[in-house]
Amino acid sequence: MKRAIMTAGLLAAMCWIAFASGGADAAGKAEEGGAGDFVVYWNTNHNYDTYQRIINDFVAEKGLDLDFQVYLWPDMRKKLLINFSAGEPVDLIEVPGNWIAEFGANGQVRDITAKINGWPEKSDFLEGTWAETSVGDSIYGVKIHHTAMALFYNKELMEGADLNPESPPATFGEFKNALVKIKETYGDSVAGFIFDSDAGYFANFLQSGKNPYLIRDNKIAINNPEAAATMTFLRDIISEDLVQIPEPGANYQASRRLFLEGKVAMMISGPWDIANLANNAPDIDYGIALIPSLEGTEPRGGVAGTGLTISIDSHKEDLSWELIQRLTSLEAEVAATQETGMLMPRKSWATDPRIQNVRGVQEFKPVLAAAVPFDIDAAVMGLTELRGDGDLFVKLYQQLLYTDIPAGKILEDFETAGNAAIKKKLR
Amino acid sequence: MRNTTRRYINGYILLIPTLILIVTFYLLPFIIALINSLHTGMPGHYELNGLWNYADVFTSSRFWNSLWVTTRFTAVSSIILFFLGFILAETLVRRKIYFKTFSSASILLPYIITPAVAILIWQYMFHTDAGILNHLLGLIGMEPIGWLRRPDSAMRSLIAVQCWFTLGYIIVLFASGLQAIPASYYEAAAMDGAGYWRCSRSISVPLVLPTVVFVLIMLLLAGYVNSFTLASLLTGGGPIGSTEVYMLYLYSIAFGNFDIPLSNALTMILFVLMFLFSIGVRSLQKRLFSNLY
Repeated sequence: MKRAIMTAGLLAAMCWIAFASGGADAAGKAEEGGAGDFVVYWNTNHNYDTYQRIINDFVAEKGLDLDFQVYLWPDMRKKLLINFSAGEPVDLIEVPGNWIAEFGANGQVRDITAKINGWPEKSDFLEGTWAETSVGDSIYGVKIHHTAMALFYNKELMEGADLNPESPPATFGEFKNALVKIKETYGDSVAGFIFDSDAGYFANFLQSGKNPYLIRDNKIAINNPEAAATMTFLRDIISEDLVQIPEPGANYQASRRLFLEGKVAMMISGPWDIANLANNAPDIDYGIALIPSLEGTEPRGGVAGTGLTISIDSHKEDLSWELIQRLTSLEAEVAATQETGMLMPRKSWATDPRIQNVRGVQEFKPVLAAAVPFDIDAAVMGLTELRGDGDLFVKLYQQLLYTDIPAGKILEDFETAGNAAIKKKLR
Repeated sequence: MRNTTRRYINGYILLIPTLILIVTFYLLPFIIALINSLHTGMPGHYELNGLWNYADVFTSSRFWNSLWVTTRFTAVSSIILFFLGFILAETLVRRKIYFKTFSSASILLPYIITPAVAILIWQYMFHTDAGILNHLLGLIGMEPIGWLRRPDSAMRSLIAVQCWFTLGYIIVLFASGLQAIPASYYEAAAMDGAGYWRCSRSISVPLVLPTVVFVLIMLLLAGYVNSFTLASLLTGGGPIGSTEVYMLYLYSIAFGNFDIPLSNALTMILFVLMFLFSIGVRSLQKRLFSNLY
């Protein structure tokens, strides 16, 4: 009996010590406020030397212990959900711009409107950049990269197919002509264009009509004649085997790899791939242009880029805000562009002489001017299933790629399902 | 205190640590999930929502699709694995075959390969333009097949990989049951003139029944719960939701849409389904074994 009680007591004590020590640690850190770890989440592909230097200098100056964690987007989203649910503070988060609006609408990140409005530098940021980090009049973050998607094309392959490499296809007619010539020249060894596995890249094609947004006035807005004609055209080039389509479940890198290997002449991408191309395929001579659009419509594309925000549970809001200002300063932007070719949200950056000759800057200027945040309303309303990477939009994209369902029917089904989701959200 | 009472108290005291763990990691999360499923909103900002989450689930075509996909996947893969597993196990145990150890190890090999690696290799093999399967088809003059691109063939491909992956394990389970049958039974039957198939039907099948129940449970768990990794990595649930198994749907609602209450409602529904299934297996077990022993 005695032995049984002692054994049980010992095990219970071990369990208690294990739980209590973990809890005490977390509680202790939470109470410390200004001291303790300064937790930063950053995207793996944006971990530039410039940002590392600024963050390291900052934590050294303030006497903080840095807990710097890098994640790919899907992993970071899961980690953030757990942090938000558990009330764990993350002092600075780098996330896609429209996530900030989503998190802001959900009350998961700090409202920094007062700080932004009192910041003299605010007017130096392009007006459009605030749309992604705001919900109504409340601002929840600052964009650190302001980018857009464009057509990347291999000049050598275009020239080899008797196409002018300095005059990339601008309309669907020219696009198809280029695809046909590439097919005639290279056969199956080179694909004219590759669709991305990420449905968000395809969304760019739908933005050239009268309405460049996914949702307007709380209704799905892409079921229109221009979108139907666009999808019909895309279906035609797929069925005529002029382009390559991704396998379901393929990762994001698959299409990029084929472009890098010279097996694809055109793809849609953004400035984040400039460093990738420079590092992995320095010999490829490529051009950047607006994404081809339906005849008679205005060429457009989706806004992309990331922003900085502070989790609602952070106890170091003032420190985080100070670091945001340093990371988004003109000097930081210029240094990051010189390092990687990334595009930035400041007006003064766009005119700064130091970045004018950096690869991609000049080519992306017209692309950025035509860019629109396609699914921003879906993000603000918390309708993740409707976003470019959401389930309903992915279904629309896969119906285009893998079935013979007419484009009009695909858009109609998406509109019905999307409006039902919006109605449920507003219930 | 009487000896028997003392013995019971001793037993319960020894159970306390395990009970603490079960309550902390199973019972409490279950209760929290049940309560969450009756709410709406984001963690930390929940509002009572009654049974609306359940109403939303049962009126969602995506829910019914995922349930149908999972059931179809589980049923077809289980039937194939069950019969093929039994036949191969019996062959390995009863037949005299060359390289028996090598054959056994080869069959079990897929099961010990890291699933993520194996699935990615299959993904390359299934690739429409660059996969080895279509290359082989091309050699015999056949047109390439969009293995993962068409809803019907994507499901077949998923089932094929599941069978390849799980077959070895099922064979091991059946073989362990078959090896427990004394060889004298077969020898006696052979002396009475029973052939191979007669021995299978009258000796192997009835005496391996206890293993059958365990195999069935394993197959259904593999189909309903463990299919997540396979579907997630091979097709991502596509094309057009044709391979979106239940757990993948649940995962997407929880971590894609951040809708924890709805995902908890889905978990509760899965719990009820598994509970009903357990009752079914238990009654089957009783019926089968009451005749046997």
